[in-house]
Amino acid sequence: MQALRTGLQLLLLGALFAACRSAVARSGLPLPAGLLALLVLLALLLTRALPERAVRSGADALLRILPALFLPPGLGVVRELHLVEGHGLALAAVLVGSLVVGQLVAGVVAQAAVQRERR
Amino acid sequence: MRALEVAGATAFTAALYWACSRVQRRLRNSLLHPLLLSVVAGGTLFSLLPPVWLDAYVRGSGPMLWLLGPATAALALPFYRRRAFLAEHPWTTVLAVVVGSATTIGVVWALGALLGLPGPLLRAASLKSVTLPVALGLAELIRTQPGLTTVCVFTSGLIGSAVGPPLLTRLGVRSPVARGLVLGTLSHAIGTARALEEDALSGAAGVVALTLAALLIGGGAIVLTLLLR
Repeated sequence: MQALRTGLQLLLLGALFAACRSAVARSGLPLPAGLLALLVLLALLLTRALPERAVRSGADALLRILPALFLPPGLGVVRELHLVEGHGLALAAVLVGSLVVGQLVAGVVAQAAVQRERR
Repeated sequence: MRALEVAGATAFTAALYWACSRVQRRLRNSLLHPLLLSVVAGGTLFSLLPPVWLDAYVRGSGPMLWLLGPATAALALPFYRRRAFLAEHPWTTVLAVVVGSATTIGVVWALGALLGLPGPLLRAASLKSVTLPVALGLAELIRTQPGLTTVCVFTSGLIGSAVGPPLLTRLGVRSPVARGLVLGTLSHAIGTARALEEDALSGAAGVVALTLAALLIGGGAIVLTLLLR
């Protein structure tokens, strides 16, 4: 019973994404279909047009296998390594530098905002 | 032939990820994420094999790439479940996400221009703090490589969750709300998993922050694409 429910919910989420993909293709808007599907699902949940239990087990199943789904695009990097040649150190510096500065600034701002909330 | 490629690519992906999860569980080091181990192991394997093997794998991985779409939609659920957090800390959350995202992208652009980083690398690096399923959709939009984007997003998650907590402690950022917001904004799901280890409230902050950061940067990328086309 549980497997059937999860299967049906997966179909529902798949149909939602397929509908968003065809809407994006028809409109010609520069919008990733997955992002649109996320917004539509969130709107359906927030307006209670769709109860959480109607997608819960399907969504949880997808989120459980999500890390493995990143493997195909991740392995594609083998074909893209020539783009990094000669820029490896610069890319690493940009990634680490922007991350640490972002954390420092966001950390100070968030802590100050939390203290203001308490007052 | 096509069905064989799909079955082979799916089985290979599942087996490699499962094996790497086992290795990580045995080594008990959170930096050795199964995805990192799988990309390194699989990448080494494919670079040793003739290129036709990777071509076949890429052709066979179509259905898995398609599944990333519904999986992106599924991200609405964890956010919906923690909507009470946003209702309780609306301004702090929005401020942390906007400031954190704008600062990190600003540094990517400034430092990238200074160091002469080529366009595709600069664009991939700009997506580094967006949760991966959304980042991959945006990569297609702004014409950058999915593999590079995966690597940029993933390293931000791993490095951010390793250096973030001690850095925040040294800075005096002790509030679980603030710590979770920073880890979610800058290091998405991996940072959120780290925040959840500290505190349930931090974990909720992380989920809300990672979703809002993805919507904010996604919205920015869409507007820029519309303006530039």
